[in-house]
Order: sequence, then structure tokens, then C-alpha cells
Amino acid sequence: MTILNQPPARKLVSPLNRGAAVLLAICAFAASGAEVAGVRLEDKTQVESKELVLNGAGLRKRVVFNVYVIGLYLPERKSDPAAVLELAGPKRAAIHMLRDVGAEQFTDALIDGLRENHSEADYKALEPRVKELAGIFAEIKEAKKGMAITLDWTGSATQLTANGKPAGKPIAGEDFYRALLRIWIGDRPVQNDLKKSLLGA
Amino acid sequence: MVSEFGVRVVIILALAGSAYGAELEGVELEDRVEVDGQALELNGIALRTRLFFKVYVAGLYLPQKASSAERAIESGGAKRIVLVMMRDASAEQFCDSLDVGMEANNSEEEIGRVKPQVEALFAKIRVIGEAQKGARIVLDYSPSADATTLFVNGVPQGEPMPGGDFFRALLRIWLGERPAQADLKRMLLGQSEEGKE
Repeated sequence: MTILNQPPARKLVSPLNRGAAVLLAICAFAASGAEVAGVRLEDKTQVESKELVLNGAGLRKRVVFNVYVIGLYLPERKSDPAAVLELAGPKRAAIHMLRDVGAEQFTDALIDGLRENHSEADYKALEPRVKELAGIFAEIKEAKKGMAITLDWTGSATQLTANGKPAGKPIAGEDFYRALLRIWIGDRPVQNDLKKSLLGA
Repeated sequence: MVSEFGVRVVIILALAGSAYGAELEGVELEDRVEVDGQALELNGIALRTRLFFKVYVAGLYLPQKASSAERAIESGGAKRIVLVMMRDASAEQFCDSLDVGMEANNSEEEIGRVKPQVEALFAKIRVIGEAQKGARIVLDYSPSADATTLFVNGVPQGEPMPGGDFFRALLRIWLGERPAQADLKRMLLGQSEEGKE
């Protein structure tokens, strides 16, 4: 239920009247998914044949511009960031672009988010893999408006997909995937209200 | 006038060899300007690059020279930021980079206070449509009106945007903790040209 109590961006997909919408929310949330800034998120997805549920979703907004909608999928719902990071099994961060963002800018934002949430020493340990990921973005060139990007933990590696197709080679180490998640749900998240949304708060 | 000015700059550069000059990448900036009846000095001049492209030459004018970002941002009085475009930038590109810089260098509270002004600024930029190569984009803060005026090639663009908070938030794009470009910040603060070579 908590997922429905979000600020303006989220509403039910269906154009039913309010009473019906509330009823639908009560009766059928499990099947209804969520909508954020006009982007529909399925409430279930599969990574490596494992069923994942939508833990939360929100809008990444800078000052004026909406940049993307992101949904976090987990094997089971968790509201505590540490519990999310510790949870075993596949995970998915599903990003739906609302603006064109060049590879350089995307990579800059990624590095910023990692640095904000890690010590210098921890970041150094991640850096070779950050470069691998930056290389994959560079091949994509631009995250175009409307593009669907996922960052998956498959259970054995981090795999990026763009519009449903695997992009680049898998990147080793669950510590790297946890580091990526900290961009959004770490102690210094890229956006506070987005962190809350992803945790279903 | 211009050539006389140019000669003077060359002489100053030759004599002082410091960041006191007012010419960079063929763009000349005056040593002194007047904003809101107040004489301002050129605090620093710098080149904004992106990948291999030269985007603009930036100049910062203050009532008194400041070599620390905090003083440049927090001290009172009139101020000017000037950007001289080295290439065409669409309104969307231009607004996008302001949006990125504004968010990266201001707290959520600060952003909350100035968001309407940011929206107003972007609306003005969209009306202009494109920042063309050679265009002079000026943002002046006037203490008497407690407002920021956007000028393009000397022409004021609509209503001034209110509040000193807004101008400080703008300045942080270039001078904040996470500036768009570290050497550009140093240059605007007149802190030597190291890192430029």
C-alpha cells in the first residue's frame, strides 16, 4: 500500500474515477503496477528466471528537469537500505529515461554518486569496474529519452541491458552492485525523496 | 577604442604576467564594468571546455577582488557573470547544464528557495532559442532591486528574477564545491593559471 501514497508523480494507470481507483488500489494493487511521471512499471519482473517484486519507484528530478523514472526490483520487499543491500539473490534497477543524457554526463553522474557514498579507498577498489561500466555507456553513446536501461545483479554478476538487450560484458563482484545501489539508497543518495520512494516508504 | 584597449591588455599582461588580463581565446573582457551604479572589477576569466570543445569564455566581476569562493559568493554588492559563447548551444543544452550545475552545488533547501527563478531563467533562454557562437550572455545582480537580470548581447531579457539567494545559487554552478570544471573555478577566482596548460 505504501507505494501508492507517493507525491504527485505516482497515480494509477487506469482513468477510473476516484472511488473506483481507491477500490482498485485496495483490491488489486498486486496486479496493478505503478505509474510514475507517465511511465508504467510492472510490479513483477524476472531476472535469471527468478521472480522479483517492485520494491518502490520514483522520479529522478534535478532542479527543473525530470531525468528518469527508476524502479527497484527485489526477491522480496524491504524498507531498510541495509536489508536491501544484504538481501541475497537477483536484483534489478530499472531506469526509464525521460531526457536525452549523453554517455559522458551519465558516467559523471554515476561517478559522483559512487564517490558520495564511498570512502576514497573503497572507491579506488571499485574504479576498474566503474571504467568497465563507463566503457559500456560510451558504446551506447547516449541514453535517449524513452530508453529502458536496467542494471541487474544476476546472482553472479552485474549486467547492463538497454531496451531489453544485454549491453557489454557482465561485471564481477556483488560489492560493485551494492555500490551502484548506494547511489540511490546510500547514506548520501542522489535524491532524498527518491531514496524513500525506492524503499517503498 | 578596442585596439587601444587590446594594447593596454597586452602591456598589462607583459608587465604583470598574471591573471589580470582581459583576453582569452580571442575574447576580450573589460577590466571594469558598472552594475547598479557600482564599479566592478574583473575577478577572473576562464574557458569552459567540454570533451574537446570550447564552450564559452566566462568572466566574473565583483566590487572587490576575491580569491576564495566563499567571499565571491557571500560578499555583498553588485555582481556580474558574463559568458561569451565559443560555439552554438541549443536552449535545451544550455538549460540542461545549468540544471546539472545548480543541483550539484546547492542543497535541497537552497534549491527549494530559488526554483521559481530557475524556471523563469530557463523560460527566458527558451525564448531566445539558441545561444549562438559569439553571443554575450550576462547575468547581473543588482542590490538596489535585489534581483538578477539576464542580458543577451546587451539586451535585457524580460523581468528581473528576484532575490540574492538566486544569484548565489547561480554563482555556485561555477564556484561551488562541485564546480562544472575545477580549473575554471580557480581561474574565475584569479588563483593562477596552473592546470590550464
